[in-house]
Amino acid sequence: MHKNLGQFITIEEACDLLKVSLPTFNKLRREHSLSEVRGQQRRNLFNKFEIMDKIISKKPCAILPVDLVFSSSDEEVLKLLVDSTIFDLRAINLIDSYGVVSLLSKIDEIVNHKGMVGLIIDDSTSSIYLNDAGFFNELERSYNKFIKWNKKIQNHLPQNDSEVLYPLKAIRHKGQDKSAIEDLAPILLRQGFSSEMVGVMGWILGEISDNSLTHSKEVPCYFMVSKYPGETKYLQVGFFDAGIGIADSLRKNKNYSSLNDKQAFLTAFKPFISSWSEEAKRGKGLTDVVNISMGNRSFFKVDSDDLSLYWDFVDLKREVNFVNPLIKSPGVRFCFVLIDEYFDIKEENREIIKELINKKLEQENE
Amino acid sequence: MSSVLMKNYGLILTGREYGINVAQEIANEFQPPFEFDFTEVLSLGSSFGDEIFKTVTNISKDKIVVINANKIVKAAIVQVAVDLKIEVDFK
Repeated sequence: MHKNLGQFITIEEACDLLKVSLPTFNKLRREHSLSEVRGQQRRNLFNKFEIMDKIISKKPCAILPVDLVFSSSDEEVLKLLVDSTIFDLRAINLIDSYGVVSLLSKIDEIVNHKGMVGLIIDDSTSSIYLNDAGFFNELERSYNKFIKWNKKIQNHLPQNDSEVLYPLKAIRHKGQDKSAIEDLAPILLRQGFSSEMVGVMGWILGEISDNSLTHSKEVPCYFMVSKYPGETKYLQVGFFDAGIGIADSLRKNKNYSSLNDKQAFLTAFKPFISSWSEEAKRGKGLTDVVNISMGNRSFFKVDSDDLSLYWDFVDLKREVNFVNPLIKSPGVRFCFVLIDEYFDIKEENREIIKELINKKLEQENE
Repeated sequence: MSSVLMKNYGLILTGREYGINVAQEIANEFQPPFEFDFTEVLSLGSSFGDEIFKTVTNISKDKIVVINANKIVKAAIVQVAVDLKIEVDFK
């Protein structure tokens, strides 16, 4: 991991960060008593994160049209970045489990490439949601000294009657997923969800966690579960791993090494297609999650690196389409929406899934 | 017939490696033919089920009996049975 902290910046870089002229910056540095250190060639350097805390976070925040939903794109989410390493989380209008894991994914990428990330938070509903989602706690555990935000603000955030049912959980080794799902099960049952809902949740999380920890050995995966406000029969699951991505994983198998990104990404969801050799008879986990979603008449979105697939089975639709990922960053992100109503999971649907994928592959090749 | 009470291994049965370990325990402790009792088990991952049924099928070709499986667990077992080309009698 590259850990160039890049914490100290020149006066020109500070002007650029704040988008102010040199005289204005000089006025601000006096007003806010910014500390300085002497750098190379006797130049004064400023602490970027002190500027973030003392100046940027005090500025009134313009509300950007950032809705972390399916229609949002990478470009919109990148508007949260004040510069290449500082996220202004006050600009989030709406966030959910998928938004949380997508944000985590982007932060993971920046920490790994640039070393240090700053977050600007306030007492808005998005900061409260992120706090309820265990986002800040998990960042502290996973990235510790490579991430910075104002802890005083975080400590004073009110506890919300949040939609978060199970906050962000890191799964670092096999078996931990099972314990996490066992913790989650009684929470869902207490909330009034059916045992079938718990059953499919366990099946999905078990398969994708197992896949993730098998194919991306060096990195943990994360998941969280939330419900929708005012509704009790819908659940949303956000999942993220910073591994090699689905397409690259499949191409490890020489039978699929010549597939392009889209072909490999789609093909990985066919039954019995895997990075393992044919003799191992693997490659059922991803088909299972499609089958569960189909039987649940719900939908899910899966992002792998810069690609995203949207599987739609609502109202008995059977569609899969490439769409924009919420954030373009390495790894795999899932967003499942499950409905506590239909659980018609049929073995024979796997053939339908295979045909659906073949049809989409043909369309992509045209 | 040996009755294997699956809730002794957890109410959420997921993970291929955990399945391998449980399959080994079952193979060591029980004699075929097998009856799997899924009372109270909430969830079964197909990777877990794959390892269990693959192991017991290698021990004995007797028909496997499954009792008290909920709808979701049953759906997973049906998939595993088709993939392994084995017969499962649901009671």
